[in-house]
Amino acid sequence: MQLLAQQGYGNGGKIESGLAEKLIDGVIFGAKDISPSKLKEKLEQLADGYPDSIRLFDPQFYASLLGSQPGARLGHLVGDNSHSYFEARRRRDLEREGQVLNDIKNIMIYQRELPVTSLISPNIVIRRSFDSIEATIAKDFIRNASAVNSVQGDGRPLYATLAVSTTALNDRIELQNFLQEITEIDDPPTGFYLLLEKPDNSITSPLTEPDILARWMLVNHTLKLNGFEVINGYTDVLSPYLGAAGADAVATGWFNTQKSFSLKKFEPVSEFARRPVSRYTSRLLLKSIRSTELNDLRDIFPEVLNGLPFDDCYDPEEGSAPNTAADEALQNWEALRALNELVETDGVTLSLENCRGALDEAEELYVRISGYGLTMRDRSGPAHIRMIREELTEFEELAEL
Amino acid sequence: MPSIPFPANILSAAFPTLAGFGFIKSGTFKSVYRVATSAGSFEVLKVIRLPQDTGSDAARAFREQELGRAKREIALLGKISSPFVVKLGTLPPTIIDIAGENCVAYTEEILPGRDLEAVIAAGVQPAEDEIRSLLSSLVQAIQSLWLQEKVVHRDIKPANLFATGLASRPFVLLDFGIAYNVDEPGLTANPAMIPATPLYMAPEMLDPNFRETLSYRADLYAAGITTFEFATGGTHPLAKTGDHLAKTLTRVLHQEPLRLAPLRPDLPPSLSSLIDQLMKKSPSLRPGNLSLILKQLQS
Repeated sequence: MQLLAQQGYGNGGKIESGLAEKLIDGVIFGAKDISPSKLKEKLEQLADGYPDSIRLFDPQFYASLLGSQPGARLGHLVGDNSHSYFEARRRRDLEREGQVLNDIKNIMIYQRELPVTSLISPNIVIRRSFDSIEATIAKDFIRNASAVNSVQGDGRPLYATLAVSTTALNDRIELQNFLQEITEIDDPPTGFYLLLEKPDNSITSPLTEPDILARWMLVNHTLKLNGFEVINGYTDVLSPYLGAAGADAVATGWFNTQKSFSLKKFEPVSEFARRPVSRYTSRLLLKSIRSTELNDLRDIFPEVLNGLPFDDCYDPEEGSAPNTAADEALQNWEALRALNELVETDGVTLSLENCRGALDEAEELYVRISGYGLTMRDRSGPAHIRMIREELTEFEELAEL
Repeated sequence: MPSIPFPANILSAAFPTLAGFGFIKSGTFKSVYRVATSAGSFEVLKVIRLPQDTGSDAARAFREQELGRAKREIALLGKISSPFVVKLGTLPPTIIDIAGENCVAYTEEILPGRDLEAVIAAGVQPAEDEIRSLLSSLVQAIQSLWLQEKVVHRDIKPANLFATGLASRPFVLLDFGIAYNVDEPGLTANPAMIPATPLYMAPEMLDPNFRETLSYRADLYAAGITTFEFATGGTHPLAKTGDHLAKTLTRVLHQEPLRLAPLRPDLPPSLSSLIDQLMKKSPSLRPGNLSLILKQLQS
């Protein structure tokens, strides 16, 4: 499975370093956080310096429904130095197929001028239900993407955006019916660019909610077995499970806003962001822990460390804090790449077995840590292990494995 | 109960341009005969008895249903162009009274070989390339029906397939009596009656609202079951012989089908798992990209 950088605010050379160190396979640029001129410049640099890299551009059209909200944080989607295709839309605009076709066309034309390796077609987020007007509009975008691209495109592969809120996944039957429909379209795209939206502003992954990981795995699995390539945007330490279900690639960034997807980051500010606490991603624990926790654990339980090159950036003499924010991002990619190797097997059943083996090892280490009298913060603790085990079992049932 | 065949002399009087009238088989309303045409070629004559209109609303609706299905079947066969679908013969559809019974009659091409049910009954396990050939023929027939006319056959099963032995069309799909265009109104008079053969019926067809989501994937399910039976020399992946209808339907809905690999360990895992995947309960889990399936079968 390939690992991509989910570009956001404050790159500072992380993407180039990630490619140079072969920690990532490519990048998905996000329209909000990069100006048109910078985007083109960066893509050209990467095409020259890393010609084999995957280079994608998320047009972030899903933010168009927030476009008319006063105070919406749309970055380079609006204003003088903005991406020209973007306009505010109301849902009623998109109920007309002509508008949908026009929006796809404009975004295809825009991307055609960029040295991206594949194109991403636009969509809105299905926020409430698969049995809704939003879902109908989303299907319209997916159904027409390939046809428009065959006129506007130049033969590069096309990924259709499918963006869904966790709330919409609650109805399993509607989800399955939706999957049936989009896997029966007459003119299918090469693949899908999947985004799972968290309706709230918390920093935990949406995939940690009950049933959500299993159902998102089902989406990945269903699309893959129907011949589509599948890229998951904004995915962090839960990426191995999506890989086990069939994902071809996952993307993650350096801030929490690039590790899970939410439209909240486009909405007017409701609270001030806190300064992020530095973290270390442990392959064995299957999650990230605070660097202070790493400092407490590393001498007693050295297996918490991954034994990979970027461990050196977490100097115990410095309280195990990473040297720089860039090092923290690179260490996270390095750990995720190692984690994803768990699922580099031929077949979903064997991959799930490997995932379960990794969960057993993580649990054993957590038990030993707990037995030693060390407690960890909620976000670093072992709650994920039981949750993921249950989700894997539910996924197996849903996928009839 | 099968329809009683008409005697040859009665048929001969009804169809003066045809001769022979060798009885082949009969179903609930339909009886089938081998006939010679005036041009000297052979065809299959199908005679569908229409239910009598006894005056009641129910009888009238039933008759309309059967007449509608017969018309739809014939119209469909006239439109579909595929070597894997049986072709119409020279006798155009005719509504005719035969021995006092109101019937619809038409001819189809005659095919060499025998039906797949008889092949399976012989109990011989086919070679890998024959299995690929069957599934490939079925997928191409399903593809033609769906892409050309948005039609679901709804009754794919060994008895409705002919193993011809011809290289260009080794298996041919027959009997479109309950085929259904998903964009047209349904013809079933009694909504509680699901027109299908229970052992080959896709699970979603047991949902009262199945027409909302019905697609060619229901046919893929039946294609998977049929191919499984063929590959194993007659083992149905769900059924035990002698089950009553309710038990069979429960199995269709809830029982995990047998897997092919343990019964045919000599087959490549990719082929066995493709056939297993076609029998999944959830339609979206059955591979929906027909071109991709055909590519897999060729590789």
